[in-house]
Amino acid sequence: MEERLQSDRRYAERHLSRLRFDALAASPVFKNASMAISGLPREALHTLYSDHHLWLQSWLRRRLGCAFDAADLTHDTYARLIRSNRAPNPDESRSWLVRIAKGLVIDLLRRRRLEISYRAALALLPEREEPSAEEREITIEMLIDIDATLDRMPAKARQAFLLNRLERLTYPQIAERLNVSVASVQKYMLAAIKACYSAAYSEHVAN
Amino acid sequence: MSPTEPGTIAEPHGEISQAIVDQASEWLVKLWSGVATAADHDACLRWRDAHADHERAWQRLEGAVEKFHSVPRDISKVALEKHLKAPSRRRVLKTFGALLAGSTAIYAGRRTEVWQRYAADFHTAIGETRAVLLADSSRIVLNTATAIDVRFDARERRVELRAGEILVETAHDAAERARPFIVTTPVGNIRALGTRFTVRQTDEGLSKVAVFEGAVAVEHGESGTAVTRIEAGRQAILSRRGATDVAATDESASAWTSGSLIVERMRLDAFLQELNRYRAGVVRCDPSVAHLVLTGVYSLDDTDRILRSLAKALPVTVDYRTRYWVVVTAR
Repeated sequence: MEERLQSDRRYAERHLSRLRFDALAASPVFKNASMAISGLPREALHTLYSDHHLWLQSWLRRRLGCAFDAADLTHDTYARLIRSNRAPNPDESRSWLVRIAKGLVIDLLRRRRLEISYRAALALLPEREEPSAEEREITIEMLIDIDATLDRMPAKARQAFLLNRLERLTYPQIAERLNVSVASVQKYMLAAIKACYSAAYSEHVAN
Repeated sequence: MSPTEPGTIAEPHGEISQAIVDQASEWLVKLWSGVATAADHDACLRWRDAHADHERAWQRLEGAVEKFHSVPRDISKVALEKHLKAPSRRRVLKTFGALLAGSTAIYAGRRTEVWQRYAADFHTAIGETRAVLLADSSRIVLNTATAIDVRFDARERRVELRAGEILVETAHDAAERARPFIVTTPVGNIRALGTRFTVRQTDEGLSKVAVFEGAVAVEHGESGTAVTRIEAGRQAILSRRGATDVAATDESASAWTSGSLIVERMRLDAFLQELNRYRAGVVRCDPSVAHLVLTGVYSLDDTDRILRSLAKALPVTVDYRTRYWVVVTAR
C-alpha cells in the first residue's frame, strides 16, 4: 500500500514536472535559446529540469522564506542557464544551478531593499513632482546598478567616492574628513573609478 | 591587439588596452578633485585628442559613471543609506556623530515618524546611537530612531523630543542667571534639577522618564501647573493626566548608551518589541511563546545575532520570512 502511494506520488511529480517544463519551454526565451544552442539539446535540458527543479525550488524557499519567490527564481535560474549557452556536466548540475540561483537571490534582495528605500526617499522629499511609474522603474534600475557597483568598491574607496559624488566635497575636504592624505584620497578615487569601469564592462558570471 | 595609428578609425568594438583605460581613469580622478584648474581640463582634452583609443576609453569611462549623476543626489543619499552608514553603532557613539548623518527608516508604517526625524535638528537612523554636546556643555545621547530639536534662548534651555529616546546629562549653566533645562514631550514637560535622566516616547503616545541622578519635575495638565517630582532611582510613565506607575529603576535602563540591552525576567513579546526598535522592519512574536521570559545582557551591535541566540536559549524558532520580516514561533 505504502509502496503504491510512493509510486503514485512519483508519477504525479514527474507528470507535474513535465507540465511545468512545457510551460517553460513555451516561453520565448526557451524557444529562441533551445534552437540556437547545439550544446544544450532539449532532452538534456529536460533532464536537468526534471531531476533538479524541485530540489532547487526547495533550496530557494529555504533561502527566501517564500514559496512564490522561490518558484519565480527557479524559473529564472533555468532561463538564465539556457541563455548562458553552456551546459553543466551532469555531476555538476546542482552546483551550477545554485551558483546562478545565488546571484539571482542577491539581485532580488537588492531590488526589494532599493524599492523600499526609494519609496522612503520619495516620502521624505515631498517637494517634487510625483514621478510616473516609468520614471520610478528607471530610477530603481539605476539605483540597483549603482548599489551593485558600490558593493564592488573597497570600503575606503566607496566612502571617498560617495563624499565626492554625493556630498560634492573636494579631495582636500575628504582628506580632512577621513583623516588621510590627499594622495590617499586620489588612490581611493582611482580604485572607485576602476570599479565603476569593470562593473560596466566586465563579463558577469552566468550572464 | 595591435596599436592603432593616430588618425585611423578604431575598430568600434575592439578591446581597449588596460593601460589606456587606467590613464583615462587617472584623468577623471584629476578632474573630479574639486580643485582642478582650466589647464588640467585642457591637458585632459589634449590627451583625449592624441589617440582614437584615448577618446574611446574616455567615452566608455563616462558611460560607466554616468549612472551616478542620473539619479537626483537627494534621492541617492536617502536610497543608498546602507552605504552611507558608519560601520558600527559603538564607533558612532565614540566619535560623536556619524560621518554622514543617517537619515531614514525604511518602511511605510513609520513614515510620519521618519519625516519627523529627518526634519529635526539632531536625529539617528534605526540602530544608530549618537552623542551630542550642546552649547552649555550639557550632553545628550540619542538612542535608535530618535529626533530632537534644541532651542536655547536667554530665558531657558529647551529640548523637544520628537521621537525616540534620549539620555540627558545636564551641565550647570554658565549664563549670568542659570536658565532652566526643560525637555518637552507631547504629554508634558520635564524640568531638570541638576541631573542625569532618560526620556522615551512610546508607541502608545506616552512618555517614560527614568532618573539616575538628581531629580526632575514633571509639569503636566492644561497650563503645566500640576507638578510631580521624580527622584533618582525612580521611573514614571507620563500621560496627559500626569505621572503614573512610579517604580524603581537602575542604571541598566540606560545600558543602550554603551550599546547593550540588559533585561531581567522580561517577557519574550516585550523583549522582541524592544529589539524591534533597533531594527528596520518588523519582528513578530507568536502568542503561544509570548509568555516565555529571559534574562541577559545583549549587544545591540548585531540584532540578528541576538535573534539567533533566542533559538538556543528558548524553545522557539526564529523564521526570516524576509530580511525585514521576522517571526518567532514555538519550536
